[in-house]
Amino acid sequence: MTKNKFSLRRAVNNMNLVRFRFWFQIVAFVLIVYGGYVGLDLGDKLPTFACVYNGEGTGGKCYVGELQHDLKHPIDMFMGFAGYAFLISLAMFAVWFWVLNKGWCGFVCPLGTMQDWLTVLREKSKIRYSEYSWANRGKIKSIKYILLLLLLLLPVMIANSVFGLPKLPNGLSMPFCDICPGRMMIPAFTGHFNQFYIDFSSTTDMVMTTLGMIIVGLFLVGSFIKKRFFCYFCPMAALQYVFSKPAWFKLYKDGSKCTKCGDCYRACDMDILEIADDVTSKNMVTEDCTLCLKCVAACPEEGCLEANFMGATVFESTKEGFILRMAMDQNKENHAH
Amino acid sequence: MKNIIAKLFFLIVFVNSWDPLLADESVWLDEDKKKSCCKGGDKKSEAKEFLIKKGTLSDNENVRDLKNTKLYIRDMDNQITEQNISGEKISFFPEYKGNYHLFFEQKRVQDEVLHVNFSSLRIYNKEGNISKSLLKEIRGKTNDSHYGLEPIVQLPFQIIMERPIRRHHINCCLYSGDIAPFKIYYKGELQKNIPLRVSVESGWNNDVKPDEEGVVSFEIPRSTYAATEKEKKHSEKMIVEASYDVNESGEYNGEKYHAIHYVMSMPLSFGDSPLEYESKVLGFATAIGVMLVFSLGLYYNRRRKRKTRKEIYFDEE
Repeated sequence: MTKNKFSLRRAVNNMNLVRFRFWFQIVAFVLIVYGGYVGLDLGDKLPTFACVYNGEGTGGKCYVGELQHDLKHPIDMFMGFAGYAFLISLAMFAVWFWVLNKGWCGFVCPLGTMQDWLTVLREKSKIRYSEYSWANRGKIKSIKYILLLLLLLLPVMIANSVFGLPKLPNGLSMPFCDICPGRMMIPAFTGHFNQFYIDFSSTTDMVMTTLGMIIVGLFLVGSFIKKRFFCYFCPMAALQYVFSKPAWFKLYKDGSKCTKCGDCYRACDMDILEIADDVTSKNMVTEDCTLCLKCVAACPEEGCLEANFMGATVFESTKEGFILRMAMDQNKENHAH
Repeated sequence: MKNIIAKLFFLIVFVNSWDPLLADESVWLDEDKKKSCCKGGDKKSEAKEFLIKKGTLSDNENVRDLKNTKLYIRDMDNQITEQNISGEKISFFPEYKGNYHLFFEQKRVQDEVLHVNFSSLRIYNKEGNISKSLLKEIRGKTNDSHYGLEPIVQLPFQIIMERPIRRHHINCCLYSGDIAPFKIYYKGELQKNIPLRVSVESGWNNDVKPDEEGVVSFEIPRSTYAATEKEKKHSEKMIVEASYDVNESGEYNGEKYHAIHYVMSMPLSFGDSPLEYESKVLGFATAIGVMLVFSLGLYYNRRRKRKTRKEIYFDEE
């Protein structure tokens, strides 16, 4: 029994994470984008971009859409039933989120999966990747918080006069959905290209839908040349980070075992420097982390990095796993040549 | 010449005798928007009020005598309750947030025929108490749950609306250009040969026949005469109606009848198609244009970086 347990742990630690993640993402993508066709309905508080505009196909809906809707209530209503509805939705979002923590981004998010597919396409096309400069990285980080603030504030300002300012036009009721590339890209996978449009019914709608078209263009090219291009700006990531501390799925680091070799940093799609540099913190889930676990797979130190679910280690770095994965990569390269 | 005159005569007689497609005895539920507002500004306690209208959309009157009428209300749990009707208006307090289906029934015997009129109306209550629907709030809903529902036992003859087929980007409500499918049931059995009469506020009337599978569908017409330049998101009403005759004898309120004539109407409202004021071509052109500009910018930026820098010699003197 002990031997079996040990073998299973070893098999997990030695697995080909790239392949596992690829198939996991495909299954999650199919469930979220096409699940509705087979009656899957995971509700409307999912902490991932399960697009509300995906009509019959969607297997669930993104919480950001619901959040904007919940906030568009006059203050007197918000202090009553609408406030309860908001709190219930937020609590459900948190519960969903705590199951996978930021793993929703790395393993489930259809928009993240699309970006990973574009990265694979770029690698196959042998086109060099790009990086953000260190000077710009700090500024880029703050964009997602600005977007989060706007998506929270604008719906409130439609229903209420904030600081005596006039109420905003109703065209801004779903400000983030208007500019989210998921609104155009996710329905496209069910054959619906009807989200590619510019709405001329009002100035606000025209500006927002044009902005949406510009962002989807940037998303497609940006994700092709930069790994997880959009995740740096994602307000969902900012909202998730607020709830990240009590989540059940964690990325832990034992700093005493770290040699600062930098393999984890080089494997990281989000270029998170702390994963290699920080040897004092235990919880390594940062605001940009997508919990893709590539760092764990790339770490050559025994038990230095580990993915932990409710106190139990589910995947950890081992010398054996590192060597095996290196060999797999070598084989792949040899085949390519 | 005589033939032409005869044809013209027939044409004039035919046009003059052309009745609106909705039956004269049509009754339909209509939400009374001019309701007196809530107690102390608390929208939760607001009662919804409904009128029963008789006639067509353009020419109708309120039915004031609501004797021998019934109202059934179906809530989100598919629980059906019967509500007593008193006075000229129907009012009820929807307890919780969500969809309600109202079914109105009126019976009367005339010329030994039992006339049974039904009308159904779906309302969405935004301001309800969520404590009654806590589980639904927790779970949330993703699908258009109010379409394609099972017919209710209380109404032997019923029109059920299926999920509409949309050509635009909005996943709610009805818009011109949408294909609206309906099914007609008698005692729970799908009827495949009963036509549906459609009448739109702006004047379009049609009699639509079901297909082989018993689905009656039609494209909601575009309102040609509406001043859409002034009001881009205007809405208008339409009524779909079906009737069915059954040879059945019986007695109702002491009056004998030898046949039953069922009529069911369903009032709906729809807006102008979003396709009227949006451009897909420009949308695609913008996205593709941005991709091209961004790609070219990146290409030239990379090319500039790849170039070896010129060595600069300083005159040290």
